[in-house]
Amino acid sequence: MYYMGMNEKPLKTIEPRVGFNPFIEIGDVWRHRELLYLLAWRDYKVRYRQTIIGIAWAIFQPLMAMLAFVFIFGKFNQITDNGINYALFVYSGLVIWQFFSNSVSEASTSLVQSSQMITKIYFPRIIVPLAKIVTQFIDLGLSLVILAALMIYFHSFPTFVGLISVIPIVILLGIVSASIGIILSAFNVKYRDVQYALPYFIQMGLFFSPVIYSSASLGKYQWLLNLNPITGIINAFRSALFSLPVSWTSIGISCLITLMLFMAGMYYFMRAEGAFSDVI
Amino acid sequence: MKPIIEITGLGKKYPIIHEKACYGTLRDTIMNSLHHPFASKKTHESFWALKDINLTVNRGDIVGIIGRNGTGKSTLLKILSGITKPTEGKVKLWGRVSSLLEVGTGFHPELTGRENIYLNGVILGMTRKEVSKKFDEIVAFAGIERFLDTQVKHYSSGMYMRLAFSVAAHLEPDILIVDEVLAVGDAEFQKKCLGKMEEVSKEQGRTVIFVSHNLDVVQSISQKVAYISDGHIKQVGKTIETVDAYMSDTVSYQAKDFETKNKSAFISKVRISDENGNPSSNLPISLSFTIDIEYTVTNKLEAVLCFLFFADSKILYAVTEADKEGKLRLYMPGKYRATLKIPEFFFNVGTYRLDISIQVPSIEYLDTKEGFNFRIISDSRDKRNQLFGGKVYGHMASLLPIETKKLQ
Repeated sequence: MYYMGMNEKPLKTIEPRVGFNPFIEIGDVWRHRELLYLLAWRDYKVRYRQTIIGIAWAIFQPLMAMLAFVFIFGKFNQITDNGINYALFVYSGLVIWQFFSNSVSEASTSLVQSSQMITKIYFPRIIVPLAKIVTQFIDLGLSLVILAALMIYFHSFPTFVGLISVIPIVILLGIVSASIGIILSAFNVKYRDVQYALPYFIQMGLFFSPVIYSSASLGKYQWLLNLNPITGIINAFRSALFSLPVSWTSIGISCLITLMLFMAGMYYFMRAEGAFSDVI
Repeated sequence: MKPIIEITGLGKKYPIIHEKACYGTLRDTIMNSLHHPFASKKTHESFWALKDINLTVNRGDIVGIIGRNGTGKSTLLKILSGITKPTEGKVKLWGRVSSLLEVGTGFHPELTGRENIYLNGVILGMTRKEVSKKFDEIVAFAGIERFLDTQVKHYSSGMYMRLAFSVAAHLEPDILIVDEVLAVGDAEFQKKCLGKMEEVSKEQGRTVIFVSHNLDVVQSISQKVAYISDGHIKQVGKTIETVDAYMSDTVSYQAKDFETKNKSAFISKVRISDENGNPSSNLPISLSFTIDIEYTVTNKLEAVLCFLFFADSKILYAVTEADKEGKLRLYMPGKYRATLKIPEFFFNVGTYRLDISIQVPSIEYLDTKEGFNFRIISDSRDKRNQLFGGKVYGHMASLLPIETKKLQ
C-alpha cells in the first residue's frame, strides 16, 4: 500500500543500537536542556528542605573542615612557605575538593536513585548525573563568596588576570567532576559496589590531593600527586588567587587526564546507556 | 490516511537472568573471569518478549492494545516511547511522542503542587513555556487550587493522582502512549480522564495508543485494537472483532506443564460455557451459563476456591466455596473439578472480567488465573431493554420482585 506520509522523513526512528554517534547524543541532550535545568533545580530545592539553617549548610561544611585542619595542625595565623595564611591556603583547597567530592558522590548514585524515572520515561540518561553536578555549582558559588571574604580579612588581593583565570579553572573542575561522575554512575547501575567503595576513596582522596599540604612539600614525589587531576586544578586555583608561580606541568597533566576521562566517560556511558532500563 | 507510526518486524529479546550467574558483584565478575577465562559471559537462555510485530497507526487514531498479563504489551509501549531499545526491527515515528506509563513519574514529595506541575510537565516532555500556558487548566482539571503551595507529601492519594494525571492529560504530543494507568483513581475521575483522551484525539487530531484490561473502555473509545498474545500480534483491526477474538480466547484455558511445577495447588483448566455447554464469550442475558474449573492439589491443605468478577476494573462480585460455612475447605491431594453456575438475569448487559484463585484468604495465593472475559448480551427476552430505549444501567440484572399495593 502507498501512503502519502511514506515520502516524508520520519521525525524519529527507533532501531536496535548499532554503534553510537556522539553528535546525535549531544543533540539529544541539547533538546532536553530544560529537563537538565529542572532536575538541577529540583535537587537544589529539595536538598535543604526541612533544615533550620538551609543553604548555610553549603558554607558550613568547608568552613568547619578548614577550622578543623587549622586547629589540628595548630597553625593559627601561620604563614605557609608560599607566604599565604594557612587558613586561607586550606580553605582554597577545600573549596575545590568539596566540589569535586560532592559532585562525584552525588552523581555516582544518581542513576540508581532515579530508576523509577529511567524505567518509565525516555530522556538522555546522562542528564541525571549532569544535573547533580550543575547543582554543586551553587554551593561552589557560595563557598567562593566566603573565600572572598576570608581573602579580604587576610588582606590577600588577587590580580585581575588571576581573578579572570579562575573561570577556566572552574570549568576544568566541572568537566573532570562530570567525567568521573558519569562513569561511576553508569558503573553503579550494573555494579552497586561503587556506592559502597566510593566513600572510602573520597576520604583517601583528600590526602592524595594538595588540600592541606602544598604540592611542593612532597619534593621529588610531586609527579605522583600530579596524576590526580585535582592536583593541577588546586595548584592552578591557588596560583591564580594568590599570584604564586604557575606550575604548567601540573596544569597540563590535569588537562590531559581530564580530556582522557571525558572521552572515556562519554564513550562508556553511551555504550552502557541503552541497557539501563533493562538492568537497573 | 497518513500513518504516524509504522512498526516493522519489531522484536525484543531478554536474557533470562539466573540469580547466581548474573546478579554478580564486581568481585564475582572478576573471579568468574579468572576461573573461567575463556567462558563466554553471555547467558545463553533468553526469551522473546516481542517478536515480528508489524503495525501501522494512522494520525488521529485511538488504538487499544489488549492481551493477557505478561504477553509483551508493556514492552511494546516501552520500545515506542524509547525507554528500551528493540533487538530487531524498526519503528518509524512521524510525530513527537509522550508516554504515560505511570502516573506521577518524577513527582517529588518535598516539592509543592505548583513546583511539581512544572517538574513533571518538563519530565513528560513539555517545555516550561508550555507548562506555564497550561498551568491554570491543569490546576482546574485536578481541582487542587487550594493546595497549590502545599508540599505534595501532605496530599491525599486521590489528590496526588488527580494532579499527576492532569499534568499528563495536558500534554500536547502528536502521539500519546498510555499504559494501564487509568485503573487507579476514583471512577468519576477515570471518566474525566477518558473523556479527555477522546477529546484530545477527536478535536486535536492526536494519536493515542493505550493498554487496558478494561474491555468496556477499549470498546468505547478505540478505533482500532491490537490483540497481543505471547509476544505476537494475534489479531489487529476493527475494535469489536478483535475484542471478540480476545474474549473467545479467554473463555477457556489449559495450563502448560511448566506453569504447574512446584505448586501445592494449581488450576489446570478454566472454561466459560453457555447453557448448552459450548465454550462462549457472548452470553445471552436470559440464559444461565457455567464456569468450570479443574485444579489439582498436591499437598494436604486448607484453602478455598475464589471467583472474582470485575466490571470497569473494580470488583463487582466475589464468591467463594466457603461462603456458606465461613471456613476453609480441607483438601486432600488429588484432582478436582468445580462448577459455578451463574443464573439467568444475574449480570446486566456489558463486559466482565473474571479472576480465579485458590487461596488461603489474606495469607497466600496458591494459584491465580486472571483475565477471563465474557460479555452479556441482550436478547429478545430482555424486556428492560425496551423500557430504557436500549440504555443499560448498572451491572446487576436480578429481576427482584417489587410488590406494589394501592394504598388509597
